[in-house]
Amino acid sequence: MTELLSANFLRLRKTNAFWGSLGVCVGLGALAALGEFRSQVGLGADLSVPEVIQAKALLEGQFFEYAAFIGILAAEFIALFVGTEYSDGAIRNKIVVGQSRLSIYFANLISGFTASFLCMAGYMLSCLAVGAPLLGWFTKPAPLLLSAIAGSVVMLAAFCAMFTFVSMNCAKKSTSVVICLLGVFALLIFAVYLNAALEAPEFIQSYELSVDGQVALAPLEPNPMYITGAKRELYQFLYDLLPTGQSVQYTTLGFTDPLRLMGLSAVVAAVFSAAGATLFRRKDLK
Amino acid sequence: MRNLLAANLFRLRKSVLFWGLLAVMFAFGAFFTLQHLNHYLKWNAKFYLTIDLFTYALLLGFGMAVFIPLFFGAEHSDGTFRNKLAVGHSRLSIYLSHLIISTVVAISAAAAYVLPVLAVGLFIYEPPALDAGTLILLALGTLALLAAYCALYTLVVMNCARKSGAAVICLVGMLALYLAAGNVEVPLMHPEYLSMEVTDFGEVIPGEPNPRYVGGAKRQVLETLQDLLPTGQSLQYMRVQVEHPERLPLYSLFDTAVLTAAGAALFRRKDLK
Repeated sequence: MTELLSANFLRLRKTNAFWGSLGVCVGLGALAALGEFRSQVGLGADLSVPEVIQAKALLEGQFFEYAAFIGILAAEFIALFVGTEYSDGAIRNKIVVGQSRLSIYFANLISGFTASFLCMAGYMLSCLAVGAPLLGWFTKPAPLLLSAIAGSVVMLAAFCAMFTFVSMNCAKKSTSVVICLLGVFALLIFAVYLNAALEAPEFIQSYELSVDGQVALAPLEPNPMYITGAKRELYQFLYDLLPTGQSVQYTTLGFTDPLRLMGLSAVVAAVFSAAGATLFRRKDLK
Repeated sequence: MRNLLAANLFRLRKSVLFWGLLAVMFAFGAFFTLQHLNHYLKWNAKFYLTIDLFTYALLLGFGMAVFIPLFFGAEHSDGTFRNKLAVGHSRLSIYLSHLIISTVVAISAAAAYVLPVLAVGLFIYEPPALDAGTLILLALGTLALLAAYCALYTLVVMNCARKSGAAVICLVGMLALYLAAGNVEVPLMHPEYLSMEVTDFGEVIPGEPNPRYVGGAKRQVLETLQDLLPTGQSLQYMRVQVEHPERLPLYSLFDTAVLTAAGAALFRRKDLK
């Protein structure tokens, strides 16, 4: 296992896809902070006043953006990294020299996770380096920020487990790239749909014009789009369970129970890894 | 050229990917229509025929980003290109035959989407609020847009020897182009004034100017970009909020021509090994 890992890390150091992804993350982090600064200055905000920074929480708004796209990045990277092993016959070579299939699987999972984590850290550091001097320091409570960072790391593990599951069990590199990328797009759209359904207000407030020309509030009407009961619980559960649902929650810092989210992500990671490793053990590698 | 087209069409008929794309697009059309049908039956909700009629312009941006690299990417790895060149076809005709076949696939997939929408929609939807001329112009515009998407992905696939690399570039590039279109659109959406007052005589008095409003030359640049980007066009067609329906097909044809010229020029010089 140690040998497999060190071989993978050596390959990582020579992989263009890794350096490219890392470069994109570092660039995006700096651009996000710079873009926000420019738009705030354009609006006439005085960012030297602590109260303005306190009210706007600008750095938080940009810092956690990584949660929105890190899934897409991991999908692309893991599918390419693992897919290359198939097409080059490296997996067979590893088995020939006596490595077990289980350790090959987990070594790839760990390498994929490490690479994605480094990209995530690259975004955070560059956003912080450019953002802190321009936008001011964080203003939200530290426990909230730390739990979002810790939670998004577990969420990343869930993403990586899913993509490793696909890539290790699909011998065609281009097919696994498409499955992983389209899958993560579809799950993101589904998460946004769930979010919209959960955020629908319970009542609709409309206005009416009274006889003397005054605008008055009409009686509240129940919203037909509002979901209740078991359906609401199911939607909330799926929204918390899906790594893409968590992406939305961490990006907006709109979560209430970080421990529940971390627990669910850990379950997703464990289930996909167990299922993926089991399938891979039986797979005909030709 | 005709031989190349015939060979590709033959391959298409046997391709699971092609039939899968048609099935997925049909399923999307049916799904949206059934949702509306459900709302119609439940709450007697009314919809215009144009709702979701042109959504394929957005879906196929992604659909073709999958289809073109997977279907044509194999020609590099299987050495089909070399065979085609060996039997005397020019590089240009190979390139154009791919573009034509891709566009035919995109239009067939659009038809598969529209089929269920019209089949149910003609009975339950309200007639569209647009006149027939504009509607036809919009429909033709989406076809030109599909050609522009195909030109873009053909450029990538023909010049990138790695099938998986081409798939990543097309899909991630598509996403980046969508984000770019969104970023171009958002500043354009801010109203010029924060408030408006209407006097008793019907006169409109503008209130405080909106600091987020973008005007002047910058607005023109953003509007042109919105029309020039295929993804910007997709968003406009999807919402059926098209400001210049006569201009968009021309922009699409321009995109197609420029991308094809660039792609073919690159492909002519490419070392096929």
